[in-house]
Amino acid sequence: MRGLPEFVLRAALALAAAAAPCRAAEVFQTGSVRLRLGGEASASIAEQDLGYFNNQEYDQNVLRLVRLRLTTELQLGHHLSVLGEARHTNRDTPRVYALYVRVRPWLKIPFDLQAGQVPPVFGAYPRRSYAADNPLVGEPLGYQYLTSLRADAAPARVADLLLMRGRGWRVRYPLGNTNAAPGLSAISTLRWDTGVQAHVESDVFEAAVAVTQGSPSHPVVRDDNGGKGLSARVAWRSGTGLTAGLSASRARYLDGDVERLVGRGSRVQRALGTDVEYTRGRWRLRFEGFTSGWDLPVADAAVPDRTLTAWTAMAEVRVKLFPGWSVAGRADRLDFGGIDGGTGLTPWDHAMTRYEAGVNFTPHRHAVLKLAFQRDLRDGGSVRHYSFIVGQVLLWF
Amino acid sequence: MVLILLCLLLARPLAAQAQSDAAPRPPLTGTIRGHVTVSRPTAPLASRPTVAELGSPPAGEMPDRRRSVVYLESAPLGAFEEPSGPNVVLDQRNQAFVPYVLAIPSGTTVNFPNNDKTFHNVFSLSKAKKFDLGRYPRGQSRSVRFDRPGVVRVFCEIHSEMNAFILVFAHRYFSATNDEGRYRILGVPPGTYTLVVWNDGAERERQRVRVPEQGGDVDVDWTVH
Repeated sequence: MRGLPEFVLRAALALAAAAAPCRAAEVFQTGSVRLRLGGEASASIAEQDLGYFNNQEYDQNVLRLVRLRLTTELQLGHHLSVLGEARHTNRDTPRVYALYVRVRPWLKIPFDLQAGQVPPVFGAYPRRSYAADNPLVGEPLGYQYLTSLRADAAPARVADLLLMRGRGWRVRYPLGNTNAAPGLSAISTLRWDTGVQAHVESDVFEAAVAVTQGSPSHPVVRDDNGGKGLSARVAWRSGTGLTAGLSASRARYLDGDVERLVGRGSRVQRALGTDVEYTRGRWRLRFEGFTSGWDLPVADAAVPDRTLTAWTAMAEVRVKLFPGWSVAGRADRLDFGGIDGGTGLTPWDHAMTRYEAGVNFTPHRHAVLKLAFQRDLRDGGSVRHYSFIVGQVLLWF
Repeated sequence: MVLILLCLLLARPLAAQAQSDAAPRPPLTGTIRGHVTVSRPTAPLASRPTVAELGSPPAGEMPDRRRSVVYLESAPLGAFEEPSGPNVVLDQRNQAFVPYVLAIPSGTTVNFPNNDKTFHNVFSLSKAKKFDLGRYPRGQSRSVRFDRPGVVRVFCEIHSEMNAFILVFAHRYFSATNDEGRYRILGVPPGTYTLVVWNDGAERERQRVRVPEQGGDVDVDWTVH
């Protein structure tokens, strides 16, 4: 995807930024062929994150980010659409983030097939990670915080793993790729997986299933281990503003080369989660939690073929105070299971707690100003706690 | 005695007749009417691309962007003392506001019923009226009274393509076009006025019109580019 001419993406994203104060752009419509554009430009600013609590990549911190997003949808008749998204973050090369086709075989039946680099099925947050959908600036820990796991490298001993606790922004292991690189988040929103998904819904029920190349924590464009991942979500919507969903996923996550190095077959990530949203009047409440396990053989562990586990839960509330003004808060926890290296069970990564509260001001339909306070607490590591005041300017169309 | 009574009985209707003759006759008024043709392309408003959706969202009803409002820029004296009328409705159905353009005199209360299967959240950040009705489900309605003249842009927080205009006037000399583009401003006192046509967010054309002393119909057709 990086092979696309960079200047084309830069020009398109510049167009998106310029058009941001406008309404959604319909570039053309001829008969049943229709091209639409949308965009989002956001700039977040905060002091330096010395604990790397908000890093999504080695040099990409959610609280210190300038991001342009251009989305497009080309409808080719009533049954077929091509959808895509390009992103330009900080000074990185613009990248295609999503590109897939959507097929609706029967117009009267709300059943869709999507193929390509598709939206994640697991959970609710990954599909609304746009800044306009997020009442705060930070992201939930389970979908952003970098653990000490990697897909292209593995620890040889328990000590290797424990040494990297709290260092997810820059992990190094002796097996596989021995260069330092960021670890995996439990579920990634940074990129989307490639595969096929089916979705059906009614007024009260929704179900989706996807078969993809990667795993929730390691989505890929090209298959790197010969395995296929399976994700599914079912959701129920009441007529009173309550939506509840259940998600599950099972997918090989380790790079094929690393799998061969560690031996004993394929390594799988399993995840199970739930999400609830209740909205009424000025209030919107969201809860999301999941547990995830990654098979990882560590030679000197008491149980050598151990599954490393993590669980996370977050609760979020947003209240509208006046037209254009709202406040929001989120409490978030990410915990890790234990591994026994001979000295008793020890969490394989340091647990995290995050509190964030903020105020949103919408002076214009297509502009949002956010100001938030975030407090991060980690059970270990060189920086165990930090507080941030963060601002964000957001334009969308 | 009988003669006196007879005189009194006859005198009442005669007095009434005399009063009637002395009362000022209602002024003659005119009707400004015509047709608005929108010649520029009015593509339906687009929702944001649904890239993050797991499937096609339901297609909403397309707003009629040809709908225009014709009004007097300045109204005759006395036009501002009209009592406000009954409540009017800006419906939410098929993920669209219906009608797309609503013209009302100030002091009018607008009801916003939700007749969709999904929740809606009607709001406006316009200077003429800021409000946010929060989220409410099918079958429920919220109301807003519009006291200040101006253009109020109405949106749904949940569905980006949903939007509408409410034009609030300090007088009653305005008319929204019907499905065929026709309008009719009734009861305009004789005089010379500036007539304005508004379409899809902006004043498009204006021209001077004269309603003659004897009243009658004044035809003004427009082509909006």
